[in-house]
Amino acid sequence: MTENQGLLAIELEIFKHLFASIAEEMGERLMRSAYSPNIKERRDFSCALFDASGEMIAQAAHIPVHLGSTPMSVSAAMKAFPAETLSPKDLIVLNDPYQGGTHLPDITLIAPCFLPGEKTPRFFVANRAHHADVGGISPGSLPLSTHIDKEGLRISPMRLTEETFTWICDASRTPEERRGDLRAQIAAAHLGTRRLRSLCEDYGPKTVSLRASQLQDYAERVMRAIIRDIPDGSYIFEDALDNDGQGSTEVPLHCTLVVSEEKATLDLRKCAPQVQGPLNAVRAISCSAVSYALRCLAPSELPSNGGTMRPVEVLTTPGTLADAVWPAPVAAGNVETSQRLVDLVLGALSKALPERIPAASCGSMNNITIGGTDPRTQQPFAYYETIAGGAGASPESPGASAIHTHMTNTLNTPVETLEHAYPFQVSAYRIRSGSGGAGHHRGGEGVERTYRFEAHAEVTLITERRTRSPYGLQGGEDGARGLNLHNGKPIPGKVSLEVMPGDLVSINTPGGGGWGAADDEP
Amino acid sequence: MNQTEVRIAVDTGGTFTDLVLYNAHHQTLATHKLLSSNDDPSRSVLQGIAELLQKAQVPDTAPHVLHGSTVATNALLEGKGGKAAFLTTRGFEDTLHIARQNRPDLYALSPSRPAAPIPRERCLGVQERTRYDGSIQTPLTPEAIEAVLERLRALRVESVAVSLLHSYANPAHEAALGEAISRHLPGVHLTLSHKLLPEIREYARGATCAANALVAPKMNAYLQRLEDQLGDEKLRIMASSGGHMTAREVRKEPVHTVLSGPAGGVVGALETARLSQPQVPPRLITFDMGGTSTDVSLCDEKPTLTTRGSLGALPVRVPLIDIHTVGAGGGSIAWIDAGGALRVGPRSCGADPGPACYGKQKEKPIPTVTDAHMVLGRLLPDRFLGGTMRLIPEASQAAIQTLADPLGLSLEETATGILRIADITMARAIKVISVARGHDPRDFALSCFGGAGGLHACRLAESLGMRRVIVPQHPGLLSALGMLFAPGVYNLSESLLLTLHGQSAPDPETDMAITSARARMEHTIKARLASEGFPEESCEIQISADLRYKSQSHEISTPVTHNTTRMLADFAEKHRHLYGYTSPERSVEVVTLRVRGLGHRAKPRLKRLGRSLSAKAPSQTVQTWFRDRFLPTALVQRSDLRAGDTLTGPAILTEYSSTLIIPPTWTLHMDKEGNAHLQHHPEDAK
Repeated sequence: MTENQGLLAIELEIFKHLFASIAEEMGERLMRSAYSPNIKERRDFSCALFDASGEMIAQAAHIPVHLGSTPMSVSAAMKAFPAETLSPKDLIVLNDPYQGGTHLPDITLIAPCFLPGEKTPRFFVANRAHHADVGGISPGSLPLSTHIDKEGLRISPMRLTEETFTWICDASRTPEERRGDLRAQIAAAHLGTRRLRSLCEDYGPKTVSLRASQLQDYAERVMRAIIRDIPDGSYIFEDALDNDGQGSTEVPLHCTLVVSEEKATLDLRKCAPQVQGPLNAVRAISCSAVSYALRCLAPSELPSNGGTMRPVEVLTTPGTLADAVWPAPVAAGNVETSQRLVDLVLGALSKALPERIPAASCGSMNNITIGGTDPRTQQPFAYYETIAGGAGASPESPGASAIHTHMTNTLNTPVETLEHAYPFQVSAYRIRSGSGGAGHHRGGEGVERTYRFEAHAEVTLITERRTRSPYGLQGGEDGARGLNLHNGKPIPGKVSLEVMPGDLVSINTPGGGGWGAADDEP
Repeated sequence: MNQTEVRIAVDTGGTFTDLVLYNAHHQTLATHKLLSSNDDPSRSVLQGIAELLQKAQVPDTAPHVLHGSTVATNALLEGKGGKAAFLTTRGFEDTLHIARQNRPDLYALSPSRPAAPIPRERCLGVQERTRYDGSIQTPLTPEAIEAVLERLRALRVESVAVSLLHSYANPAHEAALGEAISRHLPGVHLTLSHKLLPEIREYARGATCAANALVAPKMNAYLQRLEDQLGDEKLRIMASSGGHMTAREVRKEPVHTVLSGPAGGVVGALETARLSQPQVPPRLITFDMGGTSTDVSLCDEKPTLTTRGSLGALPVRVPLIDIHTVGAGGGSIAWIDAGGALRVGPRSCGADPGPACYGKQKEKPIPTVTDAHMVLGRLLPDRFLGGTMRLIPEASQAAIQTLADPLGLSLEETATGILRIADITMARAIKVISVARGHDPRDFALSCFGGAGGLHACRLAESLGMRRVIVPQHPGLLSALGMLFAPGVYNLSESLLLTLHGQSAPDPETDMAITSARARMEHTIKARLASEGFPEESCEIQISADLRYKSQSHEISTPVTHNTTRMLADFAEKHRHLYGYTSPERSVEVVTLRVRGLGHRAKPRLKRLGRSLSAKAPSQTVQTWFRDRFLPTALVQRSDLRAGDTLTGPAILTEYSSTLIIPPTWTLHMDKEGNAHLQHHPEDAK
């Protein structure tokens, strides 16, 4: 017998809140009990719930690049550990980009949720946190590498035990911080399974599972309705990465969007072959970028679950920039190429929906890692930060300035706490005036953040849009390219350098593109 | 302060201004309510006071006035404050505009942030630099000061906030700038960050100072109008931290009043619970549901304070009662979304045009939470606001029908669904302040006030497993009542950033630094309270420290005793409670030391209700929907109840500004103080 659709309309809304509040509470717990500023101050983590088949039920809105990729972590864990081999005490940990991960600093922890009397898990909970250092050739584990093995410890899906826990932490330059952060991830996972079990006690396991799948169907319906409103057709957009940090420049990006009634296909197969530098994105990231771009067309309260991607197909070819395979280095695929893939997908969408899609945003997370030994304490340190840029202007409004866009939403580290914690200063942190693209609506302005060093240190910058500008749309001008400076002299977008006391490194982030031709001055 | 005084508490709300007069000599209360004059709230405040003095037949002596004001809140929320400037270290002029660089809505196609409190053209950089350890890197020169003064003169500002980098570590530059500004720009309101909030984290501190500077001109003009009539000696303003401050202090630091009225409500709930059961330490979750939003707060014997609060999107880091607000209220609109789910809010009809049953909606009817209650027979058309406003049930039915048709449900099923969804939104808000912070709501009673709270309280409590609900007497005047009970308050804080090496035996030097900072602050506070007329024996000093394991960035507020080892043990215990583990191997950092002084006064003694002579027959029976059917329901006026009276659900208790639903399996008991206590008996459910 089918359920009364009217009553279902009520239950859907109620369970949407129930599931979402569990994911959010996990996130709150993880953030509060973690150790590293990266998780606590910058909030570089996310939490999600999954059904027995590994399809996502709910995700707390934290970091979009995790949105489409965390489900792949759960699938990889389920593949490595089939349901009948799992026990309630198990925790599965992984970061292997080729088996459910994205880049090595993002460590994902997955816990099966068993109900009393059941032999296989009814749900899974997962959380992913960006760890400030997981070893590799440079502090912060975001090196300009040429091989995955140089990027740090690679964890294929495995049970978290005393031994594996120690093995993971000891691979880091800051093992104590890893222990604190991993413990926080464990606490959050346990909280999630506990809350799901008590939800099943309150409503009955069958009902909870049924509502989870109905919510996925609901999100699918919403997404189908959105795609239906996009005119059928084939839309092509092309762009290129600045470079791969290892000598290749103008690395081609290509996307064909095919919309047919309620179905969308994103074909990324014509993107360049995988590159020598760390800009390679694994398939999980390409799916994340597509999922995010389409999600932006939906109302903001739409639950983030597996249903949203059902009417969407993402085509990639293994061995390309958008679907890298071993041993490609991938550190920056997650943080840079992901941004550029969003630009690419939105660019294709702008051809279908010219009156809706905004111009390109900054297109980079403007990553900086700094490592060395703090002369005050003789202790090693690893600092990582991403820096906001300008948002693209839209048909409705100018772009916002100094704001994180698309695949990230991490907070900045307060300058005052940073200066206590590390042997360097921030000597300027301001809006980069004039960097937004002109147009009927102006693009948002980027940011200048200048560091002044007080001790010898190693600095790695991984930044995009230093040679290719963020595009304007419908006659709007491009946003200003980013510019990195060392003691006033331009340095490449991707670079590792040794700095001396008194040195200045300045990151000037790109502005957003303008939208529409500039109005004539009266 | 002598005990024979007359005290009046005035709380201005969006619709009504509520007043309570306490005559300590006669131990009597008198109450009054009038419409708020929103263009200038001082008008209704002064008019209300005059009317109440007359009503209470108190000779026209100047009473002590305690005031809950929305002036700062509204100026900040609407961004309509004075013309203010923000000064900071050169290179960081955009601190307020970069904020934390994140966006509030993750999936907005065009992301945006709420506007900063002060526009960019009035955010100025000063050439100077202090380092993290307080040493001076770039001295502040007379030329730099003159350059800033010149720009300020040209901008013709009314108010200036100064928040230089690391001023909490060394305030010298800030103090010098402050001195120059007050000398050369007399009449300009001045906010110095090392005075208002000497705490690390430049954005949070700067934003709090900017908020203070923004609201100061409005608040000063407003207080001037009140003081002209009432005298500045006798006016105190309710602060967001649950105590009141002199008007003179509030003129300097108006940002302390952003949650003025709501703080009164929480104190009122707590104090009435304490009066009602003096032997039981009150553990409450307060639930204040109005037309557009709902405030919830947790009180474990005292209000929970936070120093990481915000108003809207703006950090306000002075101590606030930790009140969590969700956009769900009686006016929240029910609708069906693109995926076919029934939704409630976040849009609201507010008080104007209000729910369909108010009869003020134009064009097609818009169904709201209040209309759902109407359809289920839970609101009585002729009892609203004491019968002064007649509600139109047919309008509610027509509005709910617009949803029932597409859903294929009956009116009652649709209305029940709307209420369940509204309840789950509010239950989620309560979980945020309880479960997510390590408290089990089942250990707390739900204290319910505000116009719409009584309609939801029992079902909401049930959904959280809470078995007790308290509806204080005068639920519509609770904020004002709370102000009568509240102490005078003065808060100080200081960033110490000291490390306690070795957790069992802290080194004497650090211990000494804590002790001397604490003694200094205590001295300041005691002197301040004494100058406000609180004798030393009436003063209570609470000292706490924000502690964290070294390199963590979230602190836990821990009470400070003279025994540092004890403080560390308390911290570890709290850490375990909140986060599930401790790290005995790590050093602990003392980030901020906080001293809070409370000046207590004799609390009002309220008149008790008469004893019940005999159980009264319910005056009337109506048909009300519970779960899946209409049940005959007793309709009782609260004023008819006496101490000791009980009622068994289903029943409806009405009073002037609110309606209390008592579902089946709940019973009500009136105590001597006039509070209604409700108890759930789930075992009675068949």
